[in-house]
Amino acid sequence: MAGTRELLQRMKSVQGTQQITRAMKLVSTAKLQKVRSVVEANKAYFKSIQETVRSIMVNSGFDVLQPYMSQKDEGKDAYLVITSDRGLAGGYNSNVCKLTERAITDRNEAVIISIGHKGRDYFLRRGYTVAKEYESVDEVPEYGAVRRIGEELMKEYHEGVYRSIHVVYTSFVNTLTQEAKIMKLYPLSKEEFEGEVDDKAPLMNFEPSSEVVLEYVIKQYINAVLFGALGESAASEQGARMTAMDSATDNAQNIVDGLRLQYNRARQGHITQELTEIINGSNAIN
Amino acid sequence: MAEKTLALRIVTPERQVYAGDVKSVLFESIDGQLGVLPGHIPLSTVIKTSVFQMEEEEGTKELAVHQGFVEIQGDRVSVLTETAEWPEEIDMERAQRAYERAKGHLDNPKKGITDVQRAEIALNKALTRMKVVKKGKE
Repeated sequence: MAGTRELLQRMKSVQGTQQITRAMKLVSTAKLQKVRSVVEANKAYFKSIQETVRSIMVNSGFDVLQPYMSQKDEGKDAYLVITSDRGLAGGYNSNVCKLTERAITDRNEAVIISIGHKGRDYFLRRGYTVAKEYESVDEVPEYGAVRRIGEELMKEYHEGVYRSIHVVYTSFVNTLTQEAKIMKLYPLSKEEFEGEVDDKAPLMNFEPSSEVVLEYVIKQYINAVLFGALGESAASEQGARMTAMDSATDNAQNIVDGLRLQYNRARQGHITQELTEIINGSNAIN
Repeated sequence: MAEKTLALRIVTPERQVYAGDVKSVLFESIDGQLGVLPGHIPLSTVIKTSVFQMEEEEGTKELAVHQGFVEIQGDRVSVLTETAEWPEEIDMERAQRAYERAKGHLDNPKKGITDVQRAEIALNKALTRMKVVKKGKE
């Protein structure tokens, strides 16, 4: 009978796909749990550093931060674009890339530094300058790797290659919501350290001097910001993939349901037809 | 008699390594060794790659820290470091290998100053790790 075999075949293949998407969703869920604990730990660390910078500022005034805030005229605007190596994560990669494109006003003045293949490919296709590319961090970013990236960027900044460094990442709101964000990493801006300061705290002493301490603290601060951005991006990637795979599984279920209905109708039609033929046959004999 | 204690917290980007009350801490700042007892003046300083020692109620504990800074405020001591390792987390063989590699670089330097600096840092890290492990075994 026409069609039933084809219908069965299609049902099987969609069910196979559904099995894969379901498994991918479970894998992402497990990975997400792992990343989240690291992101949480980093938040505490980051806050402490921010507070330290703040307290240095309160004790020694804004002037100590001046070298880290001054604007330069030479060099290009660097955009550090954090994406994943693999797709199948809904709008995760394209949101980041589109946001970067919108932020760039003059593409001759901008260079892309990519983390992850998807971002690199996107900007290469569109003829942007991709100055550097890093491998994407795995499921859970490792601090050592992040520090190397941070140190390299800082070095190039001070050599005058860049005049500013922006980070484009995906902020993890919750499992269902992720938001692409752009953030200025360097030079620092005053607003980052404004906020409540405990006036009653006793005056802090710095050894050997506030400048030396600040130099170290700022380095760690930059690395912590980077680490945080990478961590959030990694969490968002898994979250986005989870949502994407969930809806893919649902869609596959809808298709399978539709196909099953079609198949059953065809089967029923076939039986009815056969019955009619038998009855007609026997009537003819009588 | 209730003794005064310091609330010590050691944090790295990846985890909180330690949180608890200790009687004193001892570490190396870039200006030299520094011991902190309760009632210390407020102080922020940079910590070197070194052995970090703390005296708990039950005895002393040590761990290896690599770069970071310490903030002492009242009876609170916060250590923010990029890595902190307990003796049992250190791979002795790896440290030994790193030590030899770094030493080799230093004995016949070839490629300019940054390489020497890097080797020195690596040497220091390896030495600190080995020191912590040895002390832990005593």
